[in-house]
Amino acid sequence: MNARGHLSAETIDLLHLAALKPDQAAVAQKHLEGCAACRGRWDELVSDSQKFAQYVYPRTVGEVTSRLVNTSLIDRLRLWGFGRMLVPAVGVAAAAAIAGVVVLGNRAPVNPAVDDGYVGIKGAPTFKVVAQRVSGGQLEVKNDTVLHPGDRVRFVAQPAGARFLLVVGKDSRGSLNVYHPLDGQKSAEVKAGELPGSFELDDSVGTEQLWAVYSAEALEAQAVKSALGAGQSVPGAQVVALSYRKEAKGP
Amino acid sequence: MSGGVDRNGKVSDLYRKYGPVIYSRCRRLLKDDALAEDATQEVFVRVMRHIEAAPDDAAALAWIYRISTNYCLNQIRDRSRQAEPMEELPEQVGEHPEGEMLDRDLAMQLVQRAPENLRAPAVLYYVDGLEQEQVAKALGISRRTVINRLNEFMSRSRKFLARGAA
Repeated sequence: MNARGHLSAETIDLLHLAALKPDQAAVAQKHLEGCAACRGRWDELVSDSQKFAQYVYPRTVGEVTSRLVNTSLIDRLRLWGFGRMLVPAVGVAAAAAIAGVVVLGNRAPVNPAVDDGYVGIKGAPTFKVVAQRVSGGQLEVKNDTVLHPGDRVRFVAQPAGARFLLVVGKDSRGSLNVYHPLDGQKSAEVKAGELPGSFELDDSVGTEQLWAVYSAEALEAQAVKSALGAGQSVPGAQVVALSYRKEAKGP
Repeated sequence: MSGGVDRNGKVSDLYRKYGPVIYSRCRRLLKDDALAEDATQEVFVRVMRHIEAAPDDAAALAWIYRISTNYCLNQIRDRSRQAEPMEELPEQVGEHPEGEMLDRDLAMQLVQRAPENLRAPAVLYYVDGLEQEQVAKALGISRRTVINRLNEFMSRSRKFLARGAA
């Protein structure tokens, strides 16, 4: 029991793991019988455990074990945070005001045979752009957001079960570039959360586009760029498209 | 080949054992089943090598608390940057938040308004009910630092709630 008269999360978790000594377990059980707050926590843990065993574990154990058993040295370094150090903060012609977030083209699940139920339950993948104003402050880039040269943008991915991601941008001159993995030739494994690195907006202005291309298998960047540039769908992928415009800062 | 199979089995056994605790904790902090599912995988992958080296379950849990707290707080921070209005605090709160902190929802709302360095200690102390010594162990900082950060968190929360009550 903690100094505030309740069981700590650690005690409750250890009880659930059957890792308390018999006398400690007996004290904890007795407390649970008379404390509604702690009983509520215990019941919540039991309910979550059942949910985990019934739904989460079967859906995720394959990916978890493959990530831990089959990762290369590079993957492990990236997993442990070294990737951030290796990725320079580069100034590229990334851009930013989003004009719409739409899952385009192939609405089929990433891998229907494997992920149908998974994607169905978790929904489509999402992709967000967060901008840091050169003048200070930050915001999520939306439809009507106007960004300026010098602003920096970061990307946040929610793959919803997809394993790989390629982020492609098209600037106002029509050039297509790969922003994640930076200048990569293939899509990279992705995990939910912020992608490494940030991008400073250059001086060009006009309407630009970003595509987050999620897939179950790694895709060739060149093929993806060709399809997107031609306005075609990308086979085997779910694509989150963002269009935006960038304006020079006023006087 | 057999080594890979053995390793597979060990990973899945540890995932089955600690996954529920991680999932429940992520769900409690993120309040979203799908986000908690993603977070559970990420936290487990990051905590695995520590779990394997941990001498007992308490040591493994300390790593789980540390990594899951930081991961979930980062997720919450990212969500709060989406320009959505922050959830309103309840109207019926006093000027003495210590007593109110048994309400985990209130504690989490105050945590989201706190500076980043105060968030993890506040979550572990007020939301999880760990002792200061356990918070220090979980975060790898001194107990004195924990006390200072909790005092600062409480002082800020008290001022914030007083402003709301005025």
